[in-house]
Amino acid sequence: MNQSLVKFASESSEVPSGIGALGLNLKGLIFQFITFVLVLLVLKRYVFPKLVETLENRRITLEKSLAQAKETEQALAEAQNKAEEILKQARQDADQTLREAKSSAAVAIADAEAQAAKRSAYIVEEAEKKLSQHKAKLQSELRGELASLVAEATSKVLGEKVDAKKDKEVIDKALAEVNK
Amino acid sequence: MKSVSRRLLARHAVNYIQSDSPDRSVPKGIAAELLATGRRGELELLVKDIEAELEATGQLVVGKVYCRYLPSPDQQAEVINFVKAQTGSAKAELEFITDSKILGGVNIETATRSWDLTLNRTLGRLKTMAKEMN
Repeated sequence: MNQSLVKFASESSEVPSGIGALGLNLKGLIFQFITFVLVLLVLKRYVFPKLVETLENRRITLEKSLAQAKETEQALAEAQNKAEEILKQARQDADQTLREAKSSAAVAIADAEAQAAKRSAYIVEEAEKKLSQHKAKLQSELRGELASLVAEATSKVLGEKVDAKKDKEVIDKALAEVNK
Repeated sequence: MKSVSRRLLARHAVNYIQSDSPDRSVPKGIAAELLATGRRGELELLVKDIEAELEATGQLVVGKVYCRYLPSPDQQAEVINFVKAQTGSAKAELEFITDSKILGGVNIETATRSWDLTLNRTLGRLKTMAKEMN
């Protein structure tokens, strides 16, 4: 084969005519064409299927990867949305809890204030009661003391003022009073 | 020895006084009874019992009158008449005693009754009323 090729090549190196005048080497062209076809056939038989298969596999793999990536992206987006929703809900719950806690605290404070006011009013009332009782007791004691002082003063005055004449009048009046 | 009660002795004495008998054996017997039963110390009490019996029978009332100044005879007679009227007795023998603690008026005590007509009592009542006032 090599020899025929060499021969063909040497023949083709002679002075061109016809198509050769155009600068084209017919034999070389045919030779190249055959070579091309042979290579093509070889490639087609042995290389292209595998290549195509490989490319196809790669394409499939890429498509799968793309699809997976898309799915992953979707899932990620969904997860993000869910996370946002959860966060939102959690914030809402926290706000609600805070509001409720504030409200409960306000109620507890108001209740404690009311209790304290009630207790202080009771203490004041009790203190006033005790005070008035003490006052009444003091007044009674003072009245007694005063009565004793008045009686003592009166007896002193009478002791000085009542003479025999006055005494006679007193006795007469007393006897008349009993005889009534 | 069983003793005779003071009340019986007093009644016996009053009967003797009412009888106006000159016999002195009754008072002697009463004295002997007291001595025999060892009740010498009850003599004062027996005298008071006799006075009470006399007052109860309306024969005689014996008592004491406490006053600041000794009343005049007229006023003493008034007091005696008062006691006789109050006790219903025919006779009254009262001893008038002065007491400086009495502010005025009289305090009459007999064997069974008393009348406090003194200014002291009036003052005391006023004092009590003033203490009880609200």
